[in-house]
Amino acid sequence: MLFNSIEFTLFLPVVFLLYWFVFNRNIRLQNLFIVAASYLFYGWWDWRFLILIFFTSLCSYVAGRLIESRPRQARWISAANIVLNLGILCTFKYYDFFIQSFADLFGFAADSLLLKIILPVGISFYTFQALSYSIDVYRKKLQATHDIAAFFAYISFFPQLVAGPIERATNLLPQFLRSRTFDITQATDGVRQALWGLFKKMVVADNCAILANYVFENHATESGGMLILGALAFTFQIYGDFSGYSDIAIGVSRLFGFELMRNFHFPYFSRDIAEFWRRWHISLNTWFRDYIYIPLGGSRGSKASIIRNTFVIFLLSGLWHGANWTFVVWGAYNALLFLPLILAQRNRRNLGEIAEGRIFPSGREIIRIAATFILIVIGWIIFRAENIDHAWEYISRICSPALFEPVIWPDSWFETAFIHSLIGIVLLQTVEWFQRSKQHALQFNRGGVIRFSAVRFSIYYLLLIAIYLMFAQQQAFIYFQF
Amino acid sequence: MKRFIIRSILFLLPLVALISAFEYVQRQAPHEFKYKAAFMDKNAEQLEMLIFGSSFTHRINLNDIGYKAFNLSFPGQPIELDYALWQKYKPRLTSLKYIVLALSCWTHGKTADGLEAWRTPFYNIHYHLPSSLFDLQKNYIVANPKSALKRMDVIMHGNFDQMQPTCDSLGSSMDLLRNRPANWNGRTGKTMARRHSVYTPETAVKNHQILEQMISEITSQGIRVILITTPTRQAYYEHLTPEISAMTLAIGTKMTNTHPLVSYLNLLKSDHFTEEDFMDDFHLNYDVGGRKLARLLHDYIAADTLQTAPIQ
Repeated sequence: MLFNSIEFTLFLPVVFLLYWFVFNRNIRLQNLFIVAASYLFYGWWDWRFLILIFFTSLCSYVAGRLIESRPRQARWISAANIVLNLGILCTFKYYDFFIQSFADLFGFAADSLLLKIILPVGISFYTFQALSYSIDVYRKKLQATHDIAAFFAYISFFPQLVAGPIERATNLLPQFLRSRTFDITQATDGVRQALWGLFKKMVVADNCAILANYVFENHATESGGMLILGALAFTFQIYGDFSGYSDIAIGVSRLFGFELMRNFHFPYFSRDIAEFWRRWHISLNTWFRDYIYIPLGGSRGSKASIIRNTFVIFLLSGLWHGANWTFVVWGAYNALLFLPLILAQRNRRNLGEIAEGRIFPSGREIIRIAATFILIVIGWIIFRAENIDHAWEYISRICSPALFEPVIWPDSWFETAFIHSLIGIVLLQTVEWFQRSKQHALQFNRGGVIRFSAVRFSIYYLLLIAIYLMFAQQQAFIYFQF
Repeated sequence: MKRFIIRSILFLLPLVALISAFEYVQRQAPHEFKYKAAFMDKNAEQLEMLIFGSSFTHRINLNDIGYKAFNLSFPGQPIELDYALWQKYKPRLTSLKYIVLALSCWTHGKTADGLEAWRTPFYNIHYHLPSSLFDLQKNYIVANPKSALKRMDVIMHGNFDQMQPTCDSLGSSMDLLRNRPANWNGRTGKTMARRHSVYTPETAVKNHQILEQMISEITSQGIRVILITTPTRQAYYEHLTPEISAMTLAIGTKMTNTHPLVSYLNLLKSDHFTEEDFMDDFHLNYDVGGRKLARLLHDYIAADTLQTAPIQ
């Protein structure tokens, strides 16, 4: 069930009312209801997916209990749970890819060896979320829960189930173990955040998708200017899509009294690559940092170990996104950009807010933001390409005389998508710039004209009208495929 | 909680009212389908000839056809909607002798979903075609913004009773824009031929199956089918891809060979039609070209040449 669908528009209010009016008497009942609603939400794609998430949840729950009750075997139990969960993930996600790559390398037919199984939606997300629980129990950061309903609710919680944020058990699980009370401020702010997420997804991402899909499909014959347009379109498509989904997930969660972690912090205003990686897909990057990078030694130790650790997490991060060498190369590309900063110990230079206390950035900041942005866009070309050759051809064509060929619109639908994208991007970046110190773009202080309901309602109505007038044909959320 | 729910209701109420009013006004606004559905409800039993298809057949001027005929074509109408209309009216077409069905590149690549999906609510609402209640985008104009916004000029007109009909009494478009500028709204013969040449193998297979099914049902009732590829200017047909042209000819030939009551008139490159017959590079106009095509159809049927191979 997509967030921007009629089914979800009917599903959410029903679940909301039942949650607060029928099942609120008992926290266990409320958690069970969350599980039921989440399984309905997830099973809407394919009921077979439920078997896997149930199995993953059960294994991690049992692992947590065993780790605590059998401290001598804790290490082996934790390792077994990790191997089991990652094994399932790798089988579904990577088995065919590696077999095919192996076959291509050694020149034999792999058809009979391929499993050709459907990749369950969101498997990468909930697997990592389950692993975070068992690892934290092993590390004694968290006590194993005996409340199976709360644990299943933690794994399957529908707002963040299929595309994150990848929650930590230390943050989200305790929220299922205590009773929730309705907070109107939290709920209202959540609705605002979800509305902004819808705008990012339906106006910015879906319109940019039309442009990006066309250009990437026809890259061999389009002009360099068009290829640049396509790369920029994808840059905003992936941001609008992914951060939009996160905003909706976080906003919807707040309706139910839950606070999820922030997943994006206006990443395209970053002044260097290190800052970008602190602001982009925060839940995944901190997961890799806490469970892989730091245990490997992090940025301590010799230069060789720093280089190794940096490459490991970026390559794994790339591979996490999907079974394609483009993701691995994208990870390596980002590692190469990141390394000089970390080796020179300049990776934590830009920790404060951009242009703090000022309306506009300085000239130097603008140059840094622009340079970082260009590097990111190049990375997205590699990320979006179908294969390495495609990425190479795309980038080469931009750097060729084709750059000076005239840009020709293919048709009126392209022009419409371009205009809508442009309006959406300008509005997006402007609002997010002026709101860059907030948790999300529509978080209001209660001062000034905003304190009047009429003003706030007008903003919401204008956004809804903008969404209605400019939303493009529905596109799948990109990150569902991960 | 109560305050939140009350505020939410207060916020949503004007939206719901506006959406409902907008939907109501959209449904009241004149639409060609309203007229056509009313005509069919009243006259289906008397009809001897029906025209199905897209904008290619929309301007066949049936005043000169010599039969009790009606035009159910409409711009952007894909084969699956031709079939849906046939299904809707077939029990009542007791006098029907001929069906003229457009066969074009449109037949292979277009569906009721995708870029043309915005038209579907109008079919369902005015023709009362069966559809799932839960498919809001197919049953409600406002659920599909493109559907709602495309007709804003009609809505803004206000006085629906005084609006001129867009089709004549026999369902054909009276668009009299003869000799549109070569680059009208960016739609040159070249650009449109390129657009019309786009298809996916899956869509083509599905559409051909629908065509086959439709023809089987029609001919099983003893009704003759004339597949027609309407005339276009060279500026259009020379830019169609060879594969799309070949596919059109192949499917027309196949239908002719496998169904005895089917014939195929391929007039794509016909030199019988001159400059004054065309509205633009790929449409005949209503008053000259549309009339000429209707007379040609009449003569073709009268000469009883329905058993011959495709005419080109």
